[in-house]
Amino acid sequence: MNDSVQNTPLHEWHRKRGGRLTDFAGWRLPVFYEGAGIVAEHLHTRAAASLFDVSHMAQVSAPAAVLEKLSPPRFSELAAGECKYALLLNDDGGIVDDFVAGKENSGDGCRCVFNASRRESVLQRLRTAAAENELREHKNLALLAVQGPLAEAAVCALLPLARELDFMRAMQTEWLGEECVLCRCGYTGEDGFEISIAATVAEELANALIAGGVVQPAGLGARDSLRLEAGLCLYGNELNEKTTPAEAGLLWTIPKTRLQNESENETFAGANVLREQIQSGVNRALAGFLPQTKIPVRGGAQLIEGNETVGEITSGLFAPTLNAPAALGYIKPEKNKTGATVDAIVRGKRIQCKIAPPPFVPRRYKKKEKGKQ
Amino acid sequence: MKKYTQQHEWLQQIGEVWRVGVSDYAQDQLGDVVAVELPAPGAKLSAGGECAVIESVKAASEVYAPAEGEVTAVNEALAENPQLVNESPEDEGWIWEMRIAEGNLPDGLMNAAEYKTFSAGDS
Repeated sequence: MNDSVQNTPLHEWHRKRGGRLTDFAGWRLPVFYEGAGIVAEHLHTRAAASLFDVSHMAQVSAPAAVLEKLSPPRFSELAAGECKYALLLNDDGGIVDDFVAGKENSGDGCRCVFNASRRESVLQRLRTAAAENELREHKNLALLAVQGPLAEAAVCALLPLARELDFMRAMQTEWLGEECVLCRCGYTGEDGFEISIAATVAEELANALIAGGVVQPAGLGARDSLRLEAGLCLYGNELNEKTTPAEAGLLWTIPKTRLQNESENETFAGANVLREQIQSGVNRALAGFLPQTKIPVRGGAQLIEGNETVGEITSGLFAPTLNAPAALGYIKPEKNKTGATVDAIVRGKRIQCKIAPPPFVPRRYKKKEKGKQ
Repeated sequence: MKKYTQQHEWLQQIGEVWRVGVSDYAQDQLGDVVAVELPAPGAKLSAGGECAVIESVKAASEVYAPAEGEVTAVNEALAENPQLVNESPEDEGWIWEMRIAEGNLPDGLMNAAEYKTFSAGDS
């Protein structure tokens, strides 16, 4: 393996548990664990809860005013602890990264979690709107994701305040005397938490979380199959600098008022392109596909209707909860009709795929009950 | 007696034909097998040509013909139970059978002990 590859604070922990390690975005991480495997880890997450090491992700604090120049949400109006899924955009409205930002308790900053593979590009982009001393990258931290219907019980056994959080809410607390940031969010479609804590206590926290046997470790393989079933985009597959939020079905991340004619210094990067795309439409749209065989259709497969190329698959795998293949991809908007079929080309053969809007498995987030104060 | 290739396949002579599958080491590397695309009986294979495809959750892996020859049978059980490749890779999880003319067997086939050493160095 490449020596420039970094280990997370849980590296030894993964090795001891039979983690099958791979190089991912410059980090050495488990794809799955021996004795379990992607399917078992995936199904366990949906039935109980799993622990994912996502310490490779970049944690950066930035002022809300800086983020608002490059990303649509009104970060300055967020309450302390309120979190947003957001897109960092380039000047053409293309997506530099997708991230979760949580408003910090003091000051006007947001603590953001970016993709590891995008760290350099993100920092470069943020620097176009921020002075160097306005950005703070948090180092020597672990980030642990606990995901699944039993995640709440497992996390609250250690951090009882976690119960008070609703979906997309974060809080600062302590564990073993170390400050930790707890956010009710995730990347599996299940309820769950991401816990940012000092690397020095990462192993202890991981051990405490799996101690009862309910929470089991899970690797990148299950993380990918879970997010695809939940219809969540993966940067590098569904999202890139040439793809806009309008194409990716992510206009919901943009407050409508920010697309109205704002003055030059209040608007965000790419707003003009997005306004134009909303008015005139786009040439491709993200859609879900269910191949009508057991053979998975993978990223890169062309989509054909008759003899016409109508799109391309961006992610495809065998979805363990469905016990069938599922895929995401881009298709001409006029062809994106639920229940219609197109053919995907796999090794020269046509595989019929039914168009189905994601998520393929219902998301089960713990949202605030309506009417409850 | 089984013979192994450097591509982590095994061959075993059964009467007039050779049965082919992937090694236990190979299935362990592949992870959960979810589908197997089988060759057509009667298909003419060229040595090193793509013959079958093993699909795991994340990836598709080609299985290559170890020698020139004709497919005489395929393991139909894999259509319903592709996980046989994981559970019993060197027995019930066989993939196809083929006729191989004398002299067409590839060089460098390994016995079980040799293959064990080879695959240990591969990981």
